[in-house]
Amino acid sequence: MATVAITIEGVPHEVDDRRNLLDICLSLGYDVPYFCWHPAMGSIGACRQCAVKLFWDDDQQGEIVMSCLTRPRAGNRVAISDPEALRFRAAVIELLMTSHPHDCPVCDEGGECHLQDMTVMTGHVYRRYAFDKRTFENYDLGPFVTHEMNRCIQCYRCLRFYVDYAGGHDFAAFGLRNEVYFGRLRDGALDSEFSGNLVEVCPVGVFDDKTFAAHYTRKWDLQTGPTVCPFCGRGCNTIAGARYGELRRVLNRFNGDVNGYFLCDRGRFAYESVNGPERVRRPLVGLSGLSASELVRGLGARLESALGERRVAVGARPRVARPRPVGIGSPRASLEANFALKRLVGDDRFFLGLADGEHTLVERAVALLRAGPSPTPSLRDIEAADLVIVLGEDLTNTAPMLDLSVRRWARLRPTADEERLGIARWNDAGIGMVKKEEPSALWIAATQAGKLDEIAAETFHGAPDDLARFTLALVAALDPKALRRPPKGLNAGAARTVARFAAALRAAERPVVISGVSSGSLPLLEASAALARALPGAPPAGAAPLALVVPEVNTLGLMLLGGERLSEAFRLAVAGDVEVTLVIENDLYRRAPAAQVTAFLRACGTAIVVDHVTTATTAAAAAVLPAASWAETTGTFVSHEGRAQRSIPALAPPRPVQPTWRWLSALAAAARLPVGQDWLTLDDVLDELARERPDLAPAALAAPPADARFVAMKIPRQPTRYSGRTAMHADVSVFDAAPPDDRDTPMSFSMEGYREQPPAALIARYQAPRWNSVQALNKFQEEIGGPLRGGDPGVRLIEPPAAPGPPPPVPTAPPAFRPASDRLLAVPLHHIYGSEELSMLSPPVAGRAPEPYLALSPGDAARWGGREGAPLPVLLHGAEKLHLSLPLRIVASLPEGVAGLPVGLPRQPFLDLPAELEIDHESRHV
Amino acid sequence: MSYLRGLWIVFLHLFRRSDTVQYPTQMNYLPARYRGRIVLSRDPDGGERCVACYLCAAACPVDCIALQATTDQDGRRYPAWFRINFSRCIYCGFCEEACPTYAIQLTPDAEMSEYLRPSLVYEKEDLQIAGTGKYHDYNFYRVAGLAIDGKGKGEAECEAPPADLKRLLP
Amino acid sequence: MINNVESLCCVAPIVRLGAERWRSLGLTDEGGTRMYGVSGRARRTGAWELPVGTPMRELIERHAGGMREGFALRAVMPGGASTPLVPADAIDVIMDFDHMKQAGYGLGTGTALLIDDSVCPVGLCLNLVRFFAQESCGWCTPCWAGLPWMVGVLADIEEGRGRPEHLDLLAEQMWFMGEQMCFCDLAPSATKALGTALKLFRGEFERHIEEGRCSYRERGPITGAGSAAGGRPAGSGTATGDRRPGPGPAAGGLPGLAPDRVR
Repeated sequence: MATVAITIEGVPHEVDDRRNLLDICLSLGYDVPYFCWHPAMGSIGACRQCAVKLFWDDDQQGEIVMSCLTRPRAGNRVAISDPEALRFRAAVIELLMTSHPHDCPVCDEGGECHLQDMTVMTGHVYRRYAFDKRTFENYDLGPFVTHEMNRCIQCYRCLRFYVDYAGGHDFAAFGLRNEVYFGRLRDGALDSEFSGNLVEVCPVGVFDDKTFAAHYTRKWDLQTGPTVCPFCGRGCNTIAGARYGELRRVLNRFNGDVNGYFLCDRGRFAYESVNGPERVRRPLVGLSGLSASELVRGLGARLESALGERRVAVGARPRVARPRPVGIGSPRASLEANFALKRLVGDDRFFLGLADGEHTLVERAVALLRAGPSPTPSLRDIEAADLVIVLGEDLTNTAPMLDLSVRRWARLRPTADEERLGIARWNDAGIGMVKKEEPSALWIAATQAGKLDEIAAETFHGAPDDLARFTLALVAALDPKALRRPPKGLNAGAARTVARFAAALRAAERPVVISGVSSGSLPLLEASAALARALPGAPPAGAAPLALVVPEVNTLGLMLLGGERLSEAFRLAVAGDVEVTLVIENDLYRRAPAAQVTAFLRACGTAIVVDHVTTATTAAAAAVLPAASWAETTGTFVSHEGRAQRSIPALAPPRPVQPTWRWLSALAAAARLPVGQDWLTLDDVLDELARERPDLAPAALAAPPADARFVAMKIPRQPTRYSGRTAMHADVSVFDAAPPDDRDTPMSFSMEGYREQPPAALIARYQAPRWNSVQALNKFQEEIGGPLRGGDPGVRLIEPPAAPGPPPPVPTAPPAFRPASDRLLAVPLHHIYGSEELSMLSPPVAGRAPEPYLALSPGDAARWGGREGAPLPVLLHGAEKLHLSLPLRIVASLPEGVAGLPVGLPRQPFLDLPAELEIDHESRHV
Repeated sequence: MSYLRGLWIVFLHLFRRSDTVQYPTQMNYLPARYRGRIVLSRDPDGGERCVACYLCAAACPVDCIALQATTDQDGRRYPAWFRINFSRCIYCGFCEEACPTYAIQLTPDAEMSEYLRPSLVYEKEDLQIAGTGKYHDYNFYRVAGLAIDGKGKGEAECEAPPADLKRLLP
Repeated sequence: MINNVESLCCVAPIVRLGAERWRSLGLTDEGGTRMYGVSGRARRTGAWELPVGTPMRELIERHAGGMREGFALRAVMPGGASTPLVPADAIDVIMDFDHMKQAGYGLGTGTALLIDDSVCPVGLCLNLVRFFAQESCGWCTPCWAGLPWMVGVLADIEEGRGRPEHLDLLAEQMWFMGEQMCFCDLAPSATKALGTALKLFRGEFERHIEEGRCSYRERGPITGAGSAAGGRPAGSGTATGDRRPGPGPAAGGLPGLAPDRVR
């Protein structure tokens, strides 16, 4: 690597000779057109659009080169506006336009189309091609992505992304010359969980968002906000776009430390729940609707009396102590909402609203991360790894973007071979060829096969306890002193597997361990942390980074805030110790067995639920207050990395809907509590959080405060070309209404404000002069692929302690898994479409979720006489005995004695897994 | 003397024809390109021309046009609703210039006064006309690549039939 | 899979005779022998094993017996479709790699495709460019998008719909398919033959455009340009506005491009 001196357009620059000229020019702000190059996928040299003139030393002739494939050499002179280069680039556009259909007015890409931008940039205007355009038939690619192949310009980006980076198998290029066709072999939904990225990767309108097409809006008409995806614990950054008071679409928001350039399909297409019929839009009290203020007054009075012991009326008889209200928080509510509730009810009456098993695991996970020495890895840390080991997590379904990030890492990680051959990091074809021959550096141990197995060096399948034992065996192999007693009784096959895994781990210099709580196994969680401790890592930690996947967007934030167990709240209620209960954004029927929840809701006095969707819990509540959804509320969410990120909405919800913490503030005011009286803006809540919990104070820094101004202006959520302002509500009232006021962020709900680039946490739109498509992101980064100017958004809340603490307790291996003769161990199976609550309210996502089923190994299926697809009655011995009759799915990779049950599906009761399962013989023979 | 001459000229005007147009009995001549009331025209085949591309709304300098696109079962894109607030419209004609399908046109009709301001908000049914307006020959769907009922892939004016990807010959 | 049969066939004699002896069989430094072929309207077409460095004139006049009665040589295509044409007055060139390259041509496959005065140069170019357009892989834009356009333009000229700006267009397209501009050598090779043909036979192209017809058709379609239109007789061009679908697969035409579509 060297810094070389070159000139670009006559201006001298010192540049890194490992990069290519296109990357360099774009990073320096020069506008060079391109199509097939992609900042996340490197160069292939197919489109020829990025041609520039290159002069060597004193040469006056120069040659046309493709800047995406050219490294800079000392003394090079690059002429972007050389007349020959200009002519050639315009010619490339002319050639691409020969068969391009006359579709712009009806094409969803129009207004954010990279081809439109490049056509204008090259100056081609006059059509000379006088022959017919080649055409194609389209396929139905499923509910997410449209297909309109006439528009294709053969840049190959879709193929490269889908096959090379996302590892999809049902997509290919057919045909040749000017008839290359990209798509499936026949109609059918695209299989990859990342197919939605085709929408952004395709520079024209071949692949567009089908859910968006149903209510299409031009990019210049969208009111956008920088949101955080609410559907899993990864915390990917997104841009939500709204129009006419409805959420219209979700695009990727670049964050080099979290999700980079891509999103999973759930995050992109599951937004319809915000617009859906399940939304709570008015306060509900039984079946009658009170006005919001009436309800709050009434509830406030209840609360006040419930909190009566806190006030002593002067001169009155001392009152009998009344039971204080109970507050149940939620891992899908923001940090501010949960904190507000905790302040309202008091630390000892704040319950976390997690399933019991999950509570244990997440509590332990947070303790492990806080104790260190392993740091949590950001995306960049994972990309720099030379080995990744995944323990007990089906990443494709529990943290989908981690799956894609691991795949990307697997393809792009630098190797000795590539060094030796001098293959540049951006030389996509070269890397692809060399990588085919190289051994994989991904190692997986899980209960059953997952999609990542196909790129792994090896996978080990076993029951959760066996996975823990396997992991501890690895620890013992790496650091014999770490364990008191290595696990005994591993069979010869497993021992050889351990040896292979251990050999790879030993050779790694920068390994990363990925585990989590999804398996439901505490021993495995402990073992993963022990493995990370036993592996080398960068100073000062000295231990390998450990990523622990948690299920929901704010699970980690909630646990950091801290609170009691939900089962304790149940106990209190049943004991008669509760008069008023406040539940925020939580469906308790997803957290505990139905019988327990129903008993609780009957015994908990007045149940006040603040939520944005109707659930089984809201149906049983005394009063429901309409909360703003994730796309309408500003809030801080802490990802599984421990990164506090601010989600800023695209929409202002119409009254009486308002953010949860404002409801709590209103209730506190109505109950005349000393708490929450000065919570006028979100910053007030965060200030109090910082005071009460200095360890969480950095969360306030996740975004600029609400009073931040930029040259005395706010940041506009609407672009300058936002149209229809004087007509869109004219059917309701012809008089222009003032835009809503946003007191919680420095952003405005109008087009007025600061037009230059805002700070990274407030970027709600990628648009720059001459760049109207998502490619404009290039202008917001310091250098292509690098962090946004000012640093990627988000603040890490968990760092390993500076001084090494006391040595952590040494985990003991659980006994080997030996299934009882008539019982199986049911483990949880997660589904990207199905297991998460909010995304399932979105019809396109719900359509792809499986129906409940029971998975058995082939041996077990044979033993119990089950046939694929036929229902099998079972009895689950969880927190409650559950009789279920489920169709059988035979999964070859499941270990004997282990059964799999999908969790979180809508028409399923709460499943407390892992738990013992027996085949219900009596029901079978009836 | 000059005022006598002035009086004489005024006297002569008694016998000259006046330029007064007795509106509303007589109508003033407005050329075809006069920028008056806005209409949404139809194509020569009778279908709605507007494809809800949003360009008119974007071009409008006073943001007085709002619409929402949708698609019918034939695959034609059209506006589910289309609203112009004529109390804001300045009759500049930018929308007509922006329209790629000759759908929105300004017509020589200046008689738009209303007593109530909300009456100046025109919905799609108030704007749609039955004819082609000022441009008689253009049907966007005949040249677009989008397939609609009655015009499949490869059947537009400058298109070859769809490529057969499964043929074995080169 | 055998890559080059001719090279492999040389191995046996080299081994038998020894490298020195085998090399001495050639007339120039490159040494050895080659199969030289002649096709076209020569008295004797065929392939002969001759010493490397045989002059082209010897190959054509001595071995192939010169042109048939009534046909005059105009140009020779030496190495397959990707090489520049050798004009008839330059056939004294020595047929080995270096000499051909120095002279501005290329040895290529070592053949001599004889272009006589009954061959329509426009049709010849159309045939060649159509071949390359069909073989384009579809990777880089100038090739997959530019070659079909050139096929259309050449077909227009050949069938009498040519316009003066078409020649400029062809020249421009050839520049777009330069070696630096494309990913591989297919498109640049396609333009090599076309480039020399345009230079040598510019007059023929201009005549097609001026006269609005191909004057060679009276002698019968030879070059296969007529196959684009399914062998229509000369003079039956399409009427204005007449829509005809592109040539089907059996005709070997380029689907997606209907060169007989009148614009």
